[in-house]
Amino acid sequence: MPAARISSLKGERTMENMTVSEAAHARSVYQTKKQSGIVHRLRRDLYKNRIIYFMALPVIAYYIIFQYIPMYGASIAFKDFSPMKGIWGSTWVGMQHFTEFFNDVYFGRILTNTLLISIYNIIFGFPAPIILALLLNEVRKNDVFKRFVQSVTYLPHFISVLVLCGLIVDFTARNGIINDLLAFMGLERITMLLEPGLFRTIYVSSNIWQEVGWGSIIYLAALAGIDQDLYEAATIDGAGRFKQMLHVTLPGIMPTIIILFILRMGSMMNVGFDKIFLLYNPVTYETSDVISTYVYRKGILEANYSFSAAVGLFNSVINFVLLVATNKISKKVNETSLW
Amino acid sequence: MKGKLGMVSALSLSVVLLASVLTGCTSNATKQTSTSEKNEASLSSIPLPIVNKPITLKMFVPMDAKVAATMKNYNEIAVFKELEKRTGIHIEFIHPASMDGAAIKEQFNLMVASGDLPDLIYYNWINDYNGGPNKAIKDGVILPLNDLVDKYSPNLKAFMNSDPKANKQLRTDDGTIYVYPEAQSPNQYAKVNPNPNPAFQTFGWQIRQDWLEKLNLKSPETIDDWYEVLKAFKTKNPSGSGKNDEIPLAPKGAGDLQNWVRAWGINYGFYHDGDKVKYGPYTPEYKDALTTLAKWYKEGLIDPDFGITDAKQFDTKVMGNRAGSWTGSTSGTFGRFVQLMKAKDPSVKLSGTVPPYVKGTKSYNFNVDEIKVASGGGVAISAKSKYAKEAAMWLDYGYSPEGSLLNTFGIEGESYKMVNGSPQLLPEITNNPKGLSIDEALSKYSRGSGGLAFVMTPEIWQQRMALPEQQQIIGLWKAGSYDRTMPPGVTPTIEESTKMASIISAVNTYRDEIFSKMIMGQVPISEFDNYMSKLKGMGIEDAIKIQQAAYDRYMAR
Amino acid sequence: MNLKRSKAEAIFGFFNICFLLFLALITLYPFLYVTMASLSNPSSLASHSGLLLWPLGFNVDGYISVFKNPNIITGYTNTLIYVVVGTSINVIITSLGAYVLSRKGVMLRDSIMMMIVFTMFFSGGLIPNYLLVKSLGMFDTMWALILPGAISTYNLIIMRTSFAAIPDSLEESARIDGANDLTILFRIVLSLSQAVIAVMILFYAVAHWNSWFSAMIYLRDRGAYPLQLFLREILINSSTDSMITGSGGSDKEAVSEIIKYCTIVIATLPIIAVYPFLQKYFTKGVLVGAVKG
Repeated sequence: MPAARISSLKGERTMENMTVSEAAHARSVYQTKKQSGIVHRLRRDLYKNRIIYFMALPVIAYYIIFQYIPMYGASIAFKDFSPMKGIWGSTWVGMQHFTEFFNDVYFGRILTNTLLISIYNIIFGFPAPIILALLLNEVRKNDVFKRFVQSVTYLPHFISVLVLCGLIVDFTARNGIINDLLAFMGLERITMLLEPGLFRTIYVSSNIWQEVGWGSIIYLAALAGIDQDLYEAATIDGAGRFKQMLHVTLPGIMPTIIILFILRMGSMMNVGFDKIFLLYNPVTYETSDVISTYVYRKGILEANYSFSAAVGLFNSVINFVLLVATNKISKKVNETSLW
Repeated sequence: MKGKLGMVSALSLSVVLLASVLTGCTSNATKQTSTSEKNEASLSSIPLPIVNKPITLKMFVPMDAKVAATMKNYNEIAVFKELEKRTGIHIEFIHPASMDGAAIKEQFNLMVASGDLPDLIYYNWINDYNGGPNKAIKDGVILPLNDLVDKYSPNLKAFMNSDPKANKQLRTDDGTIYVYPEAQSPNQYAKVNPNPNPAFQTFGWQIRQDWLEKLNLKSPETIDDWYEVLKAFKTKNPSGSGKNDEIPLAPKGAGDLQNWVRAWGINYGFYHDGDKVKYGPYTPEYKDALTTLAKWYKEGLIDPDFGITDAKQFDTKVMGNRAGSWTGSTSGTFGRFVQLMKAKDPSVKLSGTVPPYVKGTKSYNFNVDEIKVASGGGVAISAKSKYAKEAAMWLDYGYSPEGSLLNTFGIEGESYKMVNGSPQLLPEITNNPKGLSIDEALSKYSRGSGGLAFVMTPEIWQQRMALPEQQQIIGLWKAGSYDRTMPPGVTPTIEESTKMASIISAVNTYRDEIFSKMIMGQVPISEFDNYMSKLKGMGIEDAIKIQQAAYDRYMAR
Repeated sequence: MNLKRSKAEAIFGFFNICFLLFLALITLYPFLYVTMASLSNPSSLASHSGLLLWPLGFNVDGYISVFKNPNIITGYTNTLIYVVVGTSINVIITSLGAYVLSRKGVMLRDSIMMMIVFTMFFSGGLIPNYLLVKSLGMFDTMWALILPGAISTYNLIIMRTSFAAIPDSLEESARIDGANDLTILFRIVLSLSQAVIAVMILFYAVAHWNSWFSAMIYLRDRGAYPLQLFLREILINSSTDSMITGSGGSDKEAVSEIIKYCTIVIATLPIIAVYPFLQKYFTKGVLVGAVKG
């Protein structure tokens, strides 16, 4: 059953999952194969699925109006933007901003830091909400406790970055809690935010702290959609908790996990500005200075709209390439992908 | 006879009449501006009211936080109501919805991009407009003001003529005036109310005076003095707690500590030594500064966490009786702490010191000096305004003695009264019955607490700085010489500014890293030569050249 | 074997609960901190460092001050309207999109999907959007806050994934019974997707609740400002004077710290209160099993 189910997700028609009427239909199509060109297939499809296309209209309209029409604005990355001239009227400078960006003394470092922080975030931060959701799922009988934990763990998501960073600074301070713990264990006190080697750890850990609860919500919803009969069948087959988790739960939420992973790879370059800005320090620049913070400091010296647009475009291109690549790999390895 | 003469004279009269009408027409046609009759001679003073029929001018200006606390729109402030009465011009204020810098820039850009320019725009044209004021003019956003000022702004003209520095600061390198600035003038009431500290200092060195007295030390002046004082703070238990938790020098972040390089006669950025432009962190004196500070750090005289001390932690250290000295602002830091600590413990005394210097050299001040024309900030007239002339006149009124008084002090009888010919703030402001601070109360009546486009009399600073301690430290802080300060308004050309920004952003990053790391001992001072060559490799010498050229142009204005 | 397994499972269960409890406590702390700080005495808070587990000198002045501000009521009302209207539109149109994109045998489906995902990465930036909103006549209206963000592509993808996981057999049997796509969407897909719809409501509502940027650039009428915009104003004002009259000699900065925490609590409490109501939809298996067969 699983194979057919998965293949049906992708819209593939195989003998196993066609119904009788559809098989008959397929045969008749094959027989009237004279008009098999793309345009004719399209026309037929538009007719056959006319209700679907009709339902799609508001959605398509939205994207065209609010996303594609303004897209010409992306061109300011290639122009010398002057507010008065507007986007159309500004002078074309081609790759000038990009060249300036790539030739910057610190380009290599900020790119590396951005990527490393992002990768660490993915390695540690991506599985965390999944694990949390699975653990919550394993809490049997104690529903109140489960709901309590669920309701509490997502709270930090709502606390503003400012407050959260204030707390982090407090905790990691020389006379803060973490150092108290270190001292208790006989280790030396260190001001953690002044240690380049610790920056990524602090950043990623605090990210997990803030987002693990909120991130688990999607997985909990996905878990809610797993057919309970499968668990019954597994129990009858003699599978214990762990086997059930491996063979029922995980596969059940795997499409969600994969899709979210693909999307996550598509945000590789998006290392948020606010948090780094509040936690970093010239002493830790070598590991903490990322693209967004460097460009910000540059922007203070010269308010250059076009330059930041160019950097943004650079980030987007890399993100998009990563997404497409991950999507392709995912398609080959299993059947779940965006398209 | 009479008839013929009459006819000739009638004819010639009508010819003359016709000629004058014609020339009047053409001369009117060639003039761009519209309504006034005086379109040839320059004004010598602003007529009140400025217009016969009321008009409305739109002004874009970010709201001062002190005003936003009590009011929705600048039109509620007494000064603008009064101005409307006097001039007949109504101002429709457009305030960006958010007051943080980035949001304001965003809204400004949107406003320009959508083509909706108001008549008057308050903005920092040097720092926040890409390409600077020259570009803003070239782009057709604002008008070059030379003509307008010459004809319709006699008061601003007089102000500029009275001070060559101000004259330079208002203009771009080619002499174009681009803005009606926020300006301060010499004390116009000095004759009536002489005060040893007529000008305002925003910032300086602050110290626990009571600790000095307890340890029998005098106020430190040279770096050597400071070393002795800091050592004493550390070892001799001035706080009385016995816990040895004193932090002799407690900077609020690395930025505070960076101010200390001034003691070696250099700035943490650009400055000039005579005619030569230099970059402080690229000088041999910088090495001396770093060496001394590193030594102090090693001996525990500087807060080991200085790099990450934020405002809250700084407060805790000061209020917790541990910080011995720091640098900070006059009201936000000093004034605040004086009041707070006195409330907790009346024996605490805070004071300031002169800007420190190395023995044998002299004390230098790198803050902007008395006649401050806010660098780049001010009200410009938009290129699309139909009322450029009226705008020029309305703005100019702020530079007249009456206009200056109105804008700074507010309404006579409500916010101030004249005492022996000089204005004194009334208790409604200085001791507000509702508990408002001086600045907040004043903000209801005037722009004396924040500025806009007028000349502010320094008189107001003395009255805003109510505490005697503040008056005293201002005097101490002014002791430093302003000879080396880079004047505000020195700007690179449009072409050079991108290159400059590129070099400087890399240089600043490296500079900040090495500063903290060398002082903290993470990088040894012996690496200094490597540091210098790395700066050179980043192009610092090109940047200095660009700045030198800009400075030369500025001096030549 | 069974005994050994159930013993292992019991130990796991025990450690699981311990771990989850620990996690709950450390994730609770930030909010606890903010709440306790908001009820504390200003100067005590300013000189305090370290953990904060209870209010330092119980003090509700911060809250009184904030609520006295008439803007707060306006802000709450406006935000409520924007959240309700906005989220409804969001969920409806996203469901439509998710349904369409999850159907098989639709030729243009993958191409449409690609074009939609493309917009997640490339956009025109602020200025063209601003000009567009203006030219559509939405400036200074509620629609400027709702329509440009009518669909979040991220949410759309999540919803689509979930719709696609619904077994085909249900769709087929419905078609045989003569149902068209609209019926299938409303009768079958939506009723089976209550969990993901609950998630969508939560995500969109929270996004609307927290938003202030669009309001800042598109609204001129202060009477239409959402709560967050007023709160930001309050925070940016270093002296929130209208709220602390009578505190003449005390430290305005410390008081504004307290007010900052009060505003955070006021801003987040309502949206946090929404979650427990949606929680019941995440209970597993309640729905899928019931509709099966």
